[in-house]
Amino acid sequence: MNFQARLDSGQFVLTVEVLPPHGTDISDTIEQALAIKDLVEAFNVTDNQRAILHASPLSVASLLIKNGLEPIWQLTCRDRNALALQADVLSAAILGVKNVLAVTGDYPAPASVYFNQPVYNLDSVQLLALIKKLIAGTDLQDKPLNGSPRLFLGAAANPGAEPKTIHFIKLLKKIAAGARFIQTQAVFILEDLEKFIIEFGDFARQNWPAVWSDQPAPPLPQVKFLAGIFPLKSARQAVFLNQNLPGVTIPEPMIKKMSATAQPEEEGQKISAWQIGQIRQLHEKYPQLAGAHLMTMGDLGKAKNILEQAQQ
Amino acid sequence: MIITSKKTPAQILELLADHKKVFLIGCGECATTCRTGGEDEVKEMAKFLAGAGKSVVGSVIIEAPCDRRLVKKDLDKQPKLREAEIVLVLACGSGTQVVASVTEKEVKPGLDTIALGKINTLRDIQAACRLCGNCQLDLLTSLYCPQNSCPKKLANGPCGGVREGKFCEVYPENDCVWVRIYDDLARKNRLPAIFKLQPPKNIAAAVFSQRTTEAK
Repeated sequence: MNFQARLDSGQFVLTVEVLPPHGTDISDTIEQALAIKDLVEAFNVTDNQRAILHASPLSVASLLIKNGLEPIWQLTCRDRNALALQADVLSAAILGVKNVLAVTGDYPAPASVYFNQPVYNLDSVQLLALIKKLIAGTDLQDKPLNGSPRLFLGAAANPGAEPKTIHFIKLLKKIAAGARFIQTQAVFILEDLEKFIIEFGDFARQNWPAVWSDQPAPPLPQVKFLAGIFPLKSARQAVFLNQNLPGVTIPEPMIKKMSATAQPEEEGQKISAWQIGQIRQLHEKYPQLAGAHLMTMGDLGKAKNILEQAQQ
Repeated sequence: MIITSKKTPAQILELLADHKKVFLIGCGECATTCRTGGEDEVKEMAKFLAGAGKSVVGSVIIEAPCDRRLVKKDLDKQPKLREAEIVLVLACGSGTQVVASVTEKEVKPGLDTIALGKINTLRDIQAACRLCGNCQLDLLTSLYCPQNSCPKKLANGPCGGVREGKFCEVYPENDCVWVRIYDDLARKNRLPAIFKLQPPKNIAAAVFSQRTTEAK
């Protein structure tokens, strides 16, 4: 059963990040992905994460497919204009990609802008709408396509982002534009995650008609959320993330746990494994919270440890 | 009003290379307001260049160096220009190009041109417009343009990186323009505008053309 089918049937789903190489050496990546194929349902292939050069994700996505694995192909608005975005979506579909995570994309570091001019020709809402248009059979300029892609669309959300309302509005627009699964920014306080699921659900039901002001609103679609799990490495990192990652809060007791242990990396993985278990429980209560996506920055060995612990 | 910023001393010296005799041109409009190319800044530059072993043979503040008629008129009255080996222009890219069209001397840009600005006070000038050629300030609020103020040029709302509910993820010293837009629309009871899905912006083709007014 593929990623979309599992979400549609209400199953609990786990995915993990795969980073394309900063080079051409792909040998380890596929091997490590195969080693955990029974522990996850899909692999998130990132697109020049943090605007740092990696091989573009299309090749890795294609290789995963060749090896019987299912990618979620990430596509950012940062590096490509509308023409290139459409072209890549068509290529992805030709190669068998089924799932696309359409995101804005991290802004490049100022020092890299001279070779890395941010494009942002479209934003994530426009990109989702554009892919939806390609799926319906025409390109941005309304020309009919010679074969159209069939894709399951996803978007990103930051549950802790403030002010809440404007972020909820943006997320609702992503859903209106075609997003059916949402990957969240890293969450550490699961009560906050629960609150977000409830509050956004209420907001969506109440405000859905407002997005369709000049036409009758279609029914509010079923959208599935995958919570971001980020394994901490150290107390110092936790403090840094608290200060520098907007919307992300790591609670004091967790930081204390990290600083009290002689093996903070292992403690961090233990916490992540525990969080997966907690989210599994929340999933029973809130079926729209469909699972978790592991943000291990391409460290598939670490992902394996966490996923195996979570199974126990 | 065009916002310019000063090039660094090192950059200026690199521009001038081995040339010794420099003629300075300032701008009586925008660069004066920005304090990058007015009378004080030209004096400052002259002092700096003298200290660096250059000889400033003359200087003039042209009221609007972007206007070729004024540049021609003013430079015709500057005999010292003939002694110069190189001309340094403290004006925007437009002014620099016009000066270069009026004199055969080597002309160098002394400033960087940034954006169109709004003057809150003389000490608080903000970038307001980046010349997309298709003004859609009517879509949300005419107070703020996301094309200008959002580094990612987002058209449908903020990114997930808003810091502390107020500041830009990319430039934390700036307010997030989307929070500003939202607050303004909420205050004026015009929130429905922000729910609308905005299609990709049609940047005017004229932006890429060299001549935007028809020569008759």
